[in-house]
Amino acid sequence: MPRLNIGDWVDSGVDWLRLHLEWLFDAVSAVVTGMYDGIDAALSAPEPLLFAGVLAIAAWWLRGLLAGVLAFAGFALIDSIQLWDDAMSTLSLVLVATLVTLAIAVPLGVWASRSTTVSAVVRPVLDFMQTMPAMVYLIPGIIFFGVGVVPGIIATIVFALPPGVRMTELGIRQVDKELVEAAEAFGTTPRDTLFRVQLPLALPTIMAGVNQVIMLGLSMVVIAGMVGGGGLGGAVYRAIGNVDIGLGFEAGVSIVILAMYLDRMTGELGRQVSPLGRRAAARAVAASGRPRLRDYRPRPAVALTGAVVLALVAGGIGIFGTEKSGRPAGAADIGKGRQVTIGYIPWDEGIASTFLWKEVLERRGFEVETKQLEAGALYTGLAGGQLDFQTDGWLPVTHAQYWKKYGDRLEDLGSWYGPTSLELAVPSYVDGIDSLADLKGQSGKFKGRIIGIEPSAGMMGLLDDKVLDAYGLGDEYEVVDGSTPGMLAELKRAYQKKEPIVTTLWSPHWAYSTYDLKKLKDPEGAWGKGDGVHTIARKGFAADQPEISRWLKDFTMTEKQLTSLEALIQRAGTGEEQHAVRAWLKENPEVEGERPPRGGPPPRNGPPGGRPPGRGGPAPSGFRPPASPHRPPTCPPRAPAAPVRCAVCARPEPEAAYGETGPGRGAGRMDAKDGKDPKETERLRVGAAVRRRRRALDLTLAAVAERSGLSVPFLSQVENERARPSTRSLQRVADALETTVGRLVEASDAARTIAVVRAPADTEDDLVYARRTRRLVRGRHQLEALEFTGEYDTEGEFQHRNDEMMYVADGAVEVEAEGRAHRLGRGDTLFLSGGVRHRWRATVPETRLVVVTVADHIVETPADTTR
Amino acid sequence: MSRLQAEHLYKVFGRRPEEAIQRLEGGADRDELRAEGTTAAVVDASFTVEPGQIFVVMGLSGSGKSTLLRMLNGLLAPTSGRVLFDGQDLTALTGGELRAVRSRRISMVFQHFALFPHRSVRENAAYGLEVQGVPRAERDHRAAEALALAGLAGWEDSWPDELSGGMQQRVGLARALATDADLLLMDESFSALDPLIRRDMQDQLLQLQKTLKKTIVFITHDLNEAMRLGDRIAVMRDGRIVQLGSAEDILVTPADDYVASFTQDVDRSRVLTAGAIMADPETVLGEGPERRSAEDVLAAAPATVRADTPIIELFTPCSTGEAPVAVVDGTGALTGVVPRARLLAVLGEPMTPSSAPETGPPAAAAPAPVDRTPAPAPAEAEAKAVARA
Repeated sequence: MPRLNIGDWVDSGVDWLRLHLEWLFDAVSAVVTGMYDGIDAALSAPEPLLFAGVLAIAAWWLRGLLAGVLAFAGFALIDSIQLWDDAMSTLSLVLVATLVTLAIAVPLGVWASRSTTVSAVVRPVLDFMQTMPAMVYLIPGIIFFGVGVVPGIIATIVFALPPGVRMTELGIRQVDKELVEAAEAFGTTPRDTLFRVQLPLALPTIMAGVNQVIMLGLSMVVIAGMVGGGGLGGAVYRAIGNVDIGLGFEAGVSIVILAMYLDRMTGELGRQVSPLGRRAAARAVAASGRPRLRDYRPRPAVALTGAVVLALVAGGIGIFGTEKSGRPAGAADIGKGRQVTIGYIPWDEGIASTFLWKEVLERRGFEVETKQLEAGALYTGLAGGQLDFQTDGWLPVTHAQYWKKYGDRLEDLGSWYGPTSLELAVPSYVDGIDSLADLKGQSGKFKGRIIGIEPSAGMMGLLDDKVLDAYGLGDEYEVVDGSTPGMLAELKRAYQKKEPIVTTLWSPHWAYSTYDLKKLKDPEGAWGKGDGVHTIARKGFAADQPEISRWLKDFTMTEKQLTSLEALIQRAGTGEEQHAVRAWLKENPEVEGERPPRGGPPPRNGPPGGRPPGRGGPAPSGFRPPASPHRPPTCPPRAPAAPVRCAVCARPEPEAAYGETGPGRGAGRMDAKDGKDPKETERLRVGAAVRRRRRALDLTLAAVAERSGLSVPFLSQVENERARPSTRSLQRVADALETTVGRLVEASDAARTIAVVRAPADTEDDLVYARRTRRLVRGRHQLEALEFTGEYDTEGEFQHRNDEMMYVADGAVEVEAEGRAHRLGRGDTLFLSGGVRHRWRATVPETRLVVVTVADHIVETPADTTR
Repeated sequence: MSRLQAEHLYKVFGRRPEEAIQRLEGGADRDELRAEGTTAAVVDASFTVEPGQIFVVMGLSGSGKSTLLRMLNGLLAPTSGRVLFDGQDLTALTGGELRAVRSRRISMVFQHFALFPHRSVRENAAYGLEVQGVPRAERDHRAAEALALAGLAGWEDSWPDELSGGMQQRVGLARALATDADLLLMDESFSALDPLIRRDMQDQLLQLQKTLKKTIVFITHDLNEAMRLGDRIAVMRDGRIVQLGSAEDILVTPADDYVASFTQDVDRSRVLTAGAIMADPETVLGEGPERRSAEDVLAAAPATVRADTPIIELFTPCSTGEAPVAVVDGTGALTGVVPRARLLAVLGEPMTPSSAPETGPPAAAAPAPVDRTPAPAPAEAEAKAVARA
């Protein structure tokens, strides 16, 4: 049997279409985008609760008082869980998709009902459209229409079209033949027969079709979220990516509320619109006797007036509301309103860096749009030029397939974080297994299974193709394909029952801090080197936006900066990312600012080569690899298909990247009790900090209650840590206490920290002299300490606000301070008071230098510190 | 001129209909064609309907009567043959012209009423006028008139689903009457009603017909209904018209066994009239010196009836004496006599052509078995007796 290369034909067909019908796709895209933007603008403009009122009145009119009340409650709930804007985007998406679908489906259904030939041709096409998995449409959708709402809407239309056509055809065919004949017998034209007899009588069935179209549309929003459709689908998709059950549930509930509202309203509208439905309703009323209050419905005129009044009020407020927002004042207007589109995969580090750049670029006068996408969609969008850049490219290994496919249409702006690593992990209670080699002959223990993730993920290909072979495990172990959430769930289950388990895992990953796991050593180096997190731009971006591209090339983040930003964003919740970034930037002003406002580079930026003052821009970082395009990966991916997910899931816990290990306790072992786990601190124990701060200001609970608008009992519970305040409430408390959320959080978690940072376990020769930086104090504290190993050179001058001390543990260092050189040898220390300009370099490869500084955020104003 | 004339109508469903017609004309059987997947619904149907006549097409289901009816207003195009309506060939008209004819001059009443459930009674009745483009006020007015004629005054604002079957069909009738069309096609219009209502509706139709004088083609599978309503009746079987004539013709001289089997269950005593079975007065006047005058006959007769009296009314008089019952015309002149023997003879089995004696008793009244010539003059048709028990 010869291999039919259907896939290749489709592939080249898609290319051909893209080349030759670009004008058509652009036109479709423009029309759909226009419709979406218009509807979205109209729906999002009003104050949420007022608009909820408008929707509730519609429900009251259509279905009665109870429905109205429930509708209001549902929409108020969406507003209160801060998913209103997402919900309105989703509603707009569904409405646009529904309108377009009906515009196509109803005429097609009418045609099919009149011609058996058309019906016979259309039916298999509809079957094809409906049963082909919707995901399959998305990638060609992106190629044709670019990322954003359009491919999502198109996929939704394709998916939702069949029931629309079928129900229309069915409805018309179901109309009593004698009625149609009667119409014809009285000389009715075919057109009038359609409009006066067939369509009115088919309307209930057609409306059932409309209902189905809407429901299918809603079911597609999650998939649309993967290609930048945003809205609730984006939130769900992000929640899945982050295994964020809470957000997933909230977004899911919002979708359910929308779905129920739309379902009930269209169902009832079907009855109201169709003459038959009105007849049935009238008969029901006549049969049920006297009307009851809960059945009372405002007359259409009354309902319309009410809705219009509310809408006017809502619109008015919305107009005033828009004046509030706008570019932050006082920012340098370099961008002059130029537009930049950033795409991101909803992983924590991607979200954090993307919104950081959004904020920074907006402050500098750019107009920034962010789009959340699935990884394949992200690269397709970049390659197609619909996106300008993304900050979450895992190269050279994890995203190798994308780089291979699209690398020639992309620019690599360098790594801003790294390295990462891939590994197999076992729980620490599994004795005697410390390295991949130890797995040999132990398959009975693990039932011969290695719990994997998505088969399309790069690391799975690597595992199958290289790692298992390298250790001769291929015959003993079966890699179980699945999903990242599935793997984590399996890990959790096994961990709780203390069963042996081997899973694929990667660093950074929060699982290492949640569970006591050990990474299996890889003496053969089969997993290859770790990735760096790269910023990837479309081809030509550097030429179009030289400033941004320069800034991006200079961008680095440390583990501490990244985790603190991620934690803030996670606490702030979806939709509040940028507020979190603002709060974070207030605390970390040095990250922003082309000219660091206080003239000092961040000491905790640790790696030498932070930002020398007075250069007008961040200096190139010392330990970053040159910003050159990556070569195709050394380990070709197993499957050519775009992976749903790369081998990285959730919160990067950068300590893992630095190999925080205890020598005697097995490689890769993490001790959650020792490590100051950001997840732990996230369980906000802000009560003590709030109380201290309140007492410092000499305020009573009642006074804070009055200032914050929160109740005294609630505040009391917060202080006693019996209640966990929401971000919103905490913001109010912070305002009332004349401080910021960040400071309160910081004060609270720092107050209890005891943290051990283990020495690195890997003592392989090639790593000893590697230049590396190790963070000795994790989290945000008054002291910061870094250990530098290898031949570092700061390549520029530092100037810190606070005091600094360095200790040479090994090797030799040459320090230049205020123009004078000092040679330090093993065991020497040097103290530098705040404000001293200095630079240093290690003069021998085996140098280890410990630098301890008082953190930059420590200033002398006593009121500022709550400790 | 006849109002409606069907000339050799054929309707064949299936492949190569033209070829099928040639074979039918060549004497092929309907069953032969069916074996090849071709259905001959109507085969060589010809008849004429005079203005003011009720022309009934009777046959069992599948006999092609509904297909025939639908060719009369162009809902179905004949495979071959012509339909002349007031001399105009409907089969030659374009779609638009045909619709114009249907909208103004031919209306139709359906078996299952075919009322539009999404329209009120008034809107249903006014539907034909709406299609014609009559302004709302006028069409509401005319619809109300039509409804009143059909006995539904005051029900204008009701909905079809609120009415009983009989009332719904009255709406259907009103809808057909409202356009003031000359020709009314009624497709088993009363079949779906229960017997009492059906009888009411038949009476009402006859009553209306007295004043409106429409030309009506009425389809039914019920011979009693056909006999009550029809001035002329066409009996169809397997797509062909097997007999065409008056009720008496069919009862008294059925064209074949098929028709005869139909007539078995008919209550002949209520359908047949004195005029249909009476003998010529000459047969009782005698010859020569014993010849009696008409006056003698009249004097001796136990009863004197009109030609349209159902024969059921003759039994009692006949039983009282030997003398025949006298039949007189409007002026009281003797037109015929019904002797006892004759009365009894017609109640027996209908005589089929094969079993009928050469000198069949009601020779004077017996028409040709199959009549393809135009029916009697309208005046005669109007005077025709129709039993109304």
